[in-house]
Amino acid sequence: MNAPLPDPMLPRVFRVEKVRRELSDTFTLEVVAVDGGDFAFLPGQFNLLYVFGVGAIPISISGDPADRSRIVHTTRAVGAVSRALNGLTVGDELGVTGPFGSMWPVEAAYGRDLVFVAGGVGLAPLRPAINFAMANRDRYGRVLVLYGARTPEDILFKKDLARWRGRFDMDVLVTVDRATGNWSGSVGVVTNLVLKGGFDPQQATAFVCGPEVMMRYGAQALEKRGIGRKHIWVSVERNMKCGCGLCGHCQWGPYFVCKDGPVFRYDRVAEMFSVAEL
Amino acid sequence: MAGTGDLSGTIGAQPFFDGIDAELRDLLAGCAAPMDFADGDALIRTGVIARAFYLIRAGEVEVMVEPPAGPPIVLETLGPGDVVGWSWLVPPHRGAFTARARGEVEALAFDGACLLGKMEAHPALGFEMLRRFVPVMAHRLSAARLQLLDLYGPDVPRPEMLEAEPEEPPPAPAAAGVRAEAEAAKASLAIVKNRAEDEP
Repeated sequence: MNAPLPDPMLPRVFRVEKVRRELSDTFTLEVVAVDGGDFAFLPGQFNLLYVFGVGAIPISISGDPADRSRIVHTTRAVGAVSRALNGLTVGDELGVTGPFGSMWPVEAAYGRDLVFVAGGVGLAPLRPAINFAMANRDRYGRVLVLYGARTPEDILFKKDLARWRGRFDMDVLVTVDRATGNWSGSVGVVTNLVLKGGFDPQQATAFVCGPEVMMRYGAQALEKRGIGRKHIWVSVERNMKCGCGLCGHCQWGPYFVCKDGPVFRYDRVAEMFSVAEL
Repeated sequence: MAGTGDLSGTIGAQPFFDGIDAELRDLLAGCAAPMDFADGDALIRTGVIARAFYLIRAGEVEVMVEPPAGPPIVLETLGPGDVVGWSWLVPPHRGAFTARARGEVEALAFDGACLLGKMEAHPALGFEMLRRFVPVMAHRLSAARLQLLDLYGPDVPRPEMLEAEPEEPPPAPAAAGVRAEAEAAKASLAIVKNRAEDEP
């Protein structure tokens, strides 16, 4: 007789193993399952994190998909639940359901150039895809990470960016909107990097993640460089509750972001990006 | 020093002049000269007559505002293939911002007065120059607007901030209360429906 399948809506209890303060309002939690089991996910997917007694919110997974021993989440403290998450310390427990949603099509992009365009905390949902690309580097053409942040102090995952930049088989370009201190890097919006980036637009697949306005202009810049809409993918955020398209909180036009997204092919959603208050 | 023939070829190799007619390229070459800048040299100064525009061939240029008190504020960095300056084209031809070399910079400098004269005499060149400059200006304007938006800042509303704020959870209504609310909602829907049907 088969054992009953676990209820996907029942949170698994995880314990905080590591907390990293990334930026003034951004933090990373590394959590491991209290039951000792593995956790598998695909790049681009998200979990619902429950702070017991406070509530639950969807957070993208920012860790390495090859590492099933832990889940890594990076987010900003902007609301009641994320502020409560920010208050967790090593040893605290939280509930996790997931993984939910669609993935960055990293395998479908084998043989092509990969262009990652990230803005602000949008680098977090792209990180698993970048890790995947690095682990399968010989399967891709050129790999570029184009990242924009508000100021040099707001650059997320500085160590990762430095490590990726140190490789001889990928390019990392970083720009900031406002230079501060001794910043000697590029100043300007991330779309400028897209227009300069060294990739073959006919052979490139682009993954874009950041604030929605940035994604709109980022995708337009990629199109201007010659990448077809079918090869541009974006990750959309909406207020999600159930994670499986039942509650309707995350409806976005004809889609439920939680189950049809969060990763969408740009040609399917491009028009919705310019609809006000959708 | 490079002859105009060499310069014409160099100009043709610049992405900014991609596909330009050879005759127009030769006209441009008559107004162009290679120019090198050392770290910190100003290509354009705020308020000073801008006599040229530059095409960066190597190195980086910072476009900045220099406030009377405090350090300069860098607005944008430009690199190889980028154009620096359009004040030569727009009266009163004074630099709107300062552009300085960040490290050593190799550029092609184009004399503004010379070019304006040729553009008057050769409308095809005038059209060609505007056709190439206007998209650059439009892109820079669009980029500047995006920067103004402070996209990644804490004050820009974004969906992740729609996270529910259950400061005080509402008390759970009794089952009878829920039923009463549902009945009331049904009744108000019926009123709306009847009104809609009454309208012509």
